[in-house]
Amino acid sequence: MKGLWTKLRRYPALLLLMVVYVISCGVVITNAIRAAGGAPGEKQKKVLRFAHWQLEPGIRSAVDQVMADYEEIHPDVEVRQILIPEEGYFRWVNTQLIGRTAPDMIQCGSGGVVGWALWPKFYARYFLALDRYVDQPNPYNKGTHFEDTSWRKTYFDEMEGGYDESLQSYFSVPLSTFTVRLYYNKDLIEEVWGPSFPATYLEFIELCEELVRYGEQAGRKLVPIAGSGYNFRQFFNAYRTAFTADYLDRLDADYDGTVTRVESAGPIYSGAVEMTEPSIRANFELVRELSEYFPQGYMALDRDEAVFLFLQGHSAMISTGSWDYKSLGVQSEFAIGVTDIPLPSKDNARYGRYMAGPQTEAGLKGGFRMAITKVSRNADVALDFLQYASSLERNQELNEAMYWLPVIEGAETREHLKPFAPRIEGFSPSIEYEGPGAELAYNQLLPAYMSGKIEYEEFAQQLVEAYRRESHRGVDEYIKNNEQTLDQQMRFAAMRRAILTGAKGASEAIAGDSEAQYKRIIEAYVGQLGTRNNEIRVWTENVRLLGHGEL
Amino acid sequence: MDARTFRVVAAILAIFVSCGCGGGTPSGGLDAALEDGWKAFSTGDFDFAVNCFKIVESADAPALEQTYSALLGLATCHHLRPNPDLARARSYYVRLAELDTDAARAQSLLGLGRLEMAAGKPGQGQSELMSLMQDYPDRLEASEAAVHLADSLFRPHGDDAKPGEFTLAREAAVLRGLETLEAWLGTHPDDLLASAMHIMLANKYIEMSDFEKAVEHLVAADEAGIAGVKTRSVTLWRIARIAQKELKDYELAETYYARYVAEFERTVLFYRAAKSLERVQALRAGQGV
Repeated sequence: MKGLWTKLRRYPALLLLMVVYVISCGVVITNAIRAAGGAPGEKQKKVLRFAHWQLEPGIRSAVDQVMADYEEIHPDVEVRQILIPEEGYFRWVNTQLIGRTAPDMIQCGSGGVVGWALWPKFYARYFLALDRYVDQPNPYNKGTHFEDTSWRKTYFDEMEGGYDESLQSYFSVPLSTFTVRLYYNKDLIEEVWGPSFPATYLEFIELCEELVRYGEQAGRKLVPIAGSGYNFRQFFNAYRTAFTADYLDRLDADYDGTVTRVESAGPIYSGAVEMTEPSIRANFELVRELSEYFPQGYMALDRDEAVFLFLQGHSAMISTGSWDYKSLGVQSEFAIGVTDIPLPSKDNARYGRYMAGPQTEAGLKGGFRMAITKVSRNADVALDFLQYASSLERNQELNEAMYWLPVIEGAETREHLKPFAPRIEGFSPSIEYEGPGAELAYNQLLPAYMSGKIEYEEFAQQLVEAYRRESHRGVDEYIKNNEQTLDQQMRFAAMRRAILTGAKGASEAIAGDSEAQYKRIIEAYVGQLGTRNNEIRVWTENVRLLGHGEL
Repeated sequence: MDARTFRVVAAILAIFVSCGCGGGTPSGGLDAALEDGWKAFSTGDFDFAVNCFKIVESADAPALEQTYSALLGLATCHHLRPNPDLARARSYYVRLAELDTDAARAQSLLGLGRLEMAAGKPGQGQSELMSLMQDYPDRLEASEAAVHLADSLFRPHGDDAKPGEFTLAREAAVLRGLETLEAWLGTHPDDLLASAMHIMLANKYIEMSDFEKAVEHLVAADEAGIAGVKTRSVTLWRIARIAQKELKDYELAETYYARYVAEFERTVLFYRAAKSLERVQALRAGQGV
């Protein structure tokens, strides 16, 4: 031994490598033990770990209650919550998944644009596909009218929220759903305006003016609406849909009922649709008019800062989702009212002629989505727990406690949350201003226009210039990116085809009726081929129109 | 380095190797390896899938159906993974054809046809697909070949040197694509992929502004039975919308708007469909129908 030590001392680098290796082994083993839930004292229990970013007041205790109820009927199981702040959540998930130390269940969907692109890749690699379970009844619905109904069909959206279109599979279990409304400080509005909230858009603007005057008279700064970069988009989209719903007939070249980014971008690029058209201009002008009542520099504010302004009584209104209902109620020292984002009526002299109606929420899908990781040693128990949480009775209880909207058809919603019930009437967005390639320019020009640094004509002109400069590259990348979805669909088609032609082992690897799935995948595939060909045709025609000066 | 030092270094390396490589090997018999391989393929874990399929491929005397599954798995993995290895995929597709069963030869032709197209040889790819359609007209692979053949004829082409510039398919190619699908549907009206083929035809006729034919094929797709809920909802909407806006066939529009409203309350087009239904009903009433 002494001889070995003497030899090793001659190779300090090798020695260092060995020490680091031994330490790494120790860390890996510790993590593996922790990941397996084998912490001291818990050897007899199966430990399920459940990670999410919902730190709003009341959510933790509501989830704790469901976990406790589950543990009561499954004494061999312990469920633990891991709460991670939303800001660092996506990075944390990414690290845990790559390090294979991820908990059993993970809330999916954060990460903004990057997350949007990466979650399908995560699902495919790190999460359990749930297809083989969603068409079976949820055992915890026994004794209810859903006893013989498939788990999927018990959802208000048939579990669409848990379905990934690009992978053609179910990967997550939604537990709640959300809509966005305008919250207001009832006490303050009553004092300044009266007992009822303004019924029309004009009255709403008058209220904002009153609030500004009230603040000045009281010698304090009062901002009517607590806007921020985060909730500006919600505000803007509500008006974009209302003003431009009629563009569907003009822009939907393949009659599929949606206007894709290229179906919008092509005509804006060529000038076939002008940014100075009355309804588009009215859309931006109205939002700018409203943004006068937002805090100064609101685009740079984040969600929490806007909420803080509202809770401190420095703002009278805030536009946010039903997810904030309880947290705003608990933290505020005033009564809170909830209403729809006000739209001009048809008889509004300035905007009425362009108004189609509100944005529909008929396509709403389930949220607060939980997926089961492949590294889970108790994936079957995790699935059982999620079935428990999404059973009719438990889902109602859980959402009552969280003050959120349940996802199971027929589950009762709290009386206070009735104003958040999804609006079926209304329209879907029918134009997209952020064309492929022009996103950066749009996101620089919009704040400049909203803050009054540039006038509308300049905004419109510079945006169209950006389209003409950047769209060729942007559309090219957009088309190429969409090809990847087509490739993924072919992978799933090949898998189903292998099963249908008797490839050994394939039918055991994936559940479901392969003939029906194969047919469905090819239908979706040709649908997307059609969309791609249509988009290229629309784009090419608009390039030709501009080049030939035919407009 | 003396013998003792060498042994120490070798032992450390052995530990490294054993620790680093243990996680990526499947266990169990050949059938289990195939199952693991297809599971990994379905989740996009291609390296692991290839390892599994190779175990079966290099086994002493696998059964014919095991070899079929392994070669198909290997060919498909190399073909459809991100950054595909088309040369390897080709070699496995060729070996697949040597198995001398209809399934293996049909899968091989379909794979080779698509692979040649991906490799930038559309003519060769189309010829493989046409052979498949001629030689195995009653097989599933031939139906899919018809879809890919038509796609290759309808497909616009980009120019890598000039981003955003595309060349649309030539009229002759488009007509050939339309003929291919229509002829196939003529001889295979009950094909499993009939709905998809009718949708493809409808898409092309919409591009050509031949709305009569587009609606004809969309209705045929609906009658053939559409498996996907979203595809079905879009198809009903398109029939109604084109009938109303382009054909002024308000009776047809009414029928399909009514079906849309009855079946798809939970979609963003529900309210529009309901309003449009009222409108076409009023128009029909105005026409004295």
